[in-house]
Amino acid sequence: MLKRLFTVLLAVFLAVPAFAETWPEKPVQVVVPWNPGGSSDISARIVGDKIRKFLPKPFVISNITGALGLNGARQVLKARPDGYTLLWEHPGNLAVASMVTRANFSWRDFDALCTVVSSDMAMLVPKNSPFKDARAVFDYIKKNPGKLRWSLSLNGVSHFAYLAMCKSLGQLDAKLIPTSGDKDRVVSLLSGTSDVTCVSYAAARPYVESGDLRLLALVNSKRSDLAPDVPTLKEQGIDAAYDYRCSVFTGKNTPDNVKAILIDALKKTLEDPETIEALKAQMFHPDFQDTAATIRNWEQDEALYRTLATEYKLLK
Amino acid sequence: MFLDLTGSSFVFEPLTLVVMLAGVFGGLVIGAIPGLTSTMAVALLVPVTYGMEAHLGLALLVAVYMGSISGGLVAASLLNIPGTPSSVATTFDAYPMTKRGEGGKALAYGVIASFLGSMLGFVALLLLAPVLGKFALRFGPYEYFALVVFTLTCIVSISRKSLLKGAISALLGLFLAMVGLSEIDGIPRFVFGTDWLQSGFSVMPVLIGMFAVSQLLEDLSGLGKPLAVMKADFSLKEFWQVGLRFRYSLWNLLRSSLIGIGIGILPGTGSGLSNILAYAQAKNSAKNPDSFGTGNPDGIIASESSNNAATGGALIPLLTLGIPGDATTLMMIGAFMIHGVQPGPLLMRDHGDLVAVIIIAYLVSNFFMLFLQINFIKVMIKALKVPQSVLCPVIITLCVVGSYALNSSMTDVWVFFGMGIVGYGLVKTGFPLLPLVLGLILGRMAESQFRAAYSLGGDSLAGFLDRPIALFFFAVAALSLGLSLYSAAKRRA
Repeated sequence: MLKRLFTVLLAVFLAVPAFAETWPEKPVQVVVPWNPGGSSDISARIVGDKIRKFLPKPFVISNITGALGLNGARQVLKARPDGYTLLWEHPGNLAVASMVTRANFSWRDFDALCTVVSSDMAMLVPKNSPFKDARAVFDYIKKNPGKLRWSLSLNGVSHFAYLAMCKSLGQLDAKLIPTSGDKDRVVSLLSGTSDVTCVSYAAARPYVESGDLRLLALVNSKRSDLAPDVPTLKEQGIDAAYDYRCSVFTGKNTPDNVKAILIDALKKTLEDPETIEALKAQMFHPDFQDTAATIRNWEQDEALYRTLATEYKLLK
Repeated sequence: MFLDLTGSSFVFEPLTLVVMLAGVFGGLVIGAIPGLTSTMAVALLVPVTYGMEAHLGLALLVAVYMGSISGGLVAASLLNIPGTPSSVATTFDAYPMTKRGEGGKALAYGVIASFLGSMLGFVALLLLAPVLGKFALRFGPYEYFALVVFTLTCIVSISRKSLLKGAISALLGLFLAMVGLSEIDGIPRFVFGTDWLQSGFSVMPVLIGMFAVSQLLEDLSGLGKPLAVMKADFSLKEFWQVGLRFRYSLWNLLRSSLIGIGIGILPGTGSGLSNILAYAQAKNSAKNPDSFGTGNPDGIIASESSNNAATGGALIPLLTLGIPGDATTLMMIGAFMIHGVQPGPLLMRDHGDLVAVIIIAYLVSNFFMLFLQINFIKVMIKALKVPQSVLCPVIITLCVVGSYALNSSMTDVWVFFGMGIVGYGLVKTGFPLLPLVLGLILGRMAESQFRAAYSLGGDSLAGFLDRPIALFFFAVAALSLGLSLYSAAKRRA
């Protein structure tokens, strides 16, 4: 009896390190809850392509779309927490979703691994607009309440970015034009349907270069080395910022050694010059941040969203 | 000509031609399978092009796009199952022809109309792209909403038997469109606390469920027998005879293709809309509108030329402004981005060779499509000789695969079966299915655009009054509705 127990214990002790050494034994599925070719998808594909060097099994990207990103997240939530199913998402979306009744779970119901990339957000107007800087836009809104047409996706993260600006400047009253997605917001400026909007700088750059749109400010907290001449909102005296960061999550209670392997491989990949070059070409900033920093970031953002949602009565 | 086409010589390299031929073939097969759409074909391929050279990847995507839109006509004509929303109107006249024993002829009409529609789309793309691209920007929320209303009234002129039942069916479709997270502010509606209803009803499982399951249940009565007792051979001579008949339908062809190009250019609308609009217009302006729906070749010509012309139209805003004209070109933007090219107004200047490759690949794919389809027809109509007991399980299996693959979702499979049973019930009680599907497709768009227009007008509808294009569509909608009601009343009298 004792002998048998001993054998079992031995087997367990042997198995644990063996498990750590052999993980992963099969490809890792990375769930991107958005369409192929979108910004989440492209960053996941670049990193997934380059991580081969640092992980014995490949990343397989699967786009599980629908319900504003919640279908994909739910898939990872339900999957076995063994590190073979990862979520590649901008967690602001999950934080907002749980606040406006969309979802009964949030980013806290996953294990955060790390932050991987960040990108720039730009505030834009059409070329024939009278506004030359962000300050002028807000001055106009204050003097003419309810006049200026601002396109954003209602209850989406872009709505919260707008609310953060409102909060910093006191009550603002723009006419909110519901428009979902970067491309649609660019079109709404081009077609004269709205006067100002915020989209990812990557999506807007071709139109800024062609002169069709004018870039007023970056919404990021810091200047970007991809657009070093463009001032941030903060520099223009508007105390609001919004940083778009993509993070990787796995199911709750994934074994620590598995998480460590994944974090290590992601870190090495993001430090690899080839990855950095590929990401920069797509206007992403490689932005590795460890688990603690990632959680800290999202706690801060979530607290801000909650304050805004309460103040502007979006909380459901 | 706005573009230097020398860069397009790449298309004529042997490897490119072989890849494109394979792409058109694969597209045709995917398009012919109920439930697999051009959008899905391109979505599946976009990641594959990551490992390819940009020019080759985009030429392949154009080939697949062209093939899959054209492939939809096969299942629509022979089985009465529209494989994609873009070939819904094709079923109306092509299937009656098949039942008459003229399946080969129906396919020939469809193939030639597809080819000519694409050629007109190509001409628009090649010569007028920069001018027409600007047109896309003339449409704001007001205009879109008016266009949707106009399209909804087309349902009335198509559903001949009972206007009331058609209207009820459309309302049912509009209701289904409301289920799930609202597109505009992401608030859950009619989900009853469940997860699976949150994404709402996707168009594809509902479409193929309604049409395929109800048709197959209907066919069960003929179990064990071949689909139809008819001659299942087809000669090239007949093909050219059909081609010659097109001289009587030039105006129809032109009008339908122009509708296709116009709808294609508008971002967010595509071949799914254009085939219905073109069909309704062809029917309304015909001398013998009652012959539509009984196997009138002009019905096939209208539907198939417009959906293929729409592909050319959809590429126009993509190449001139970086804005996708439909769901499939939206996926193609992803393919550009994967190669580090962000489509936009400078695409022509900075990547003119890529644009030239796409335009010429479009032309070459069209010829490949014609060539493959001519050889396909003979094979495809042999499917009619296959007994139902074999064909039905195969089709059901493909439909299930198609429903699942769209979003890797079992929910969509259950929706497919559920909607199939509902569809069968509706058919048996005399309700037309098309208005329901169209209501579902148009409902979300109508709501989003209406709410945007409402916000723009400062929470009022007054904004519609100073938008001439919107008012024009409303006027045409009212006119077509009035005429349909009038002629219906006259028929009854």
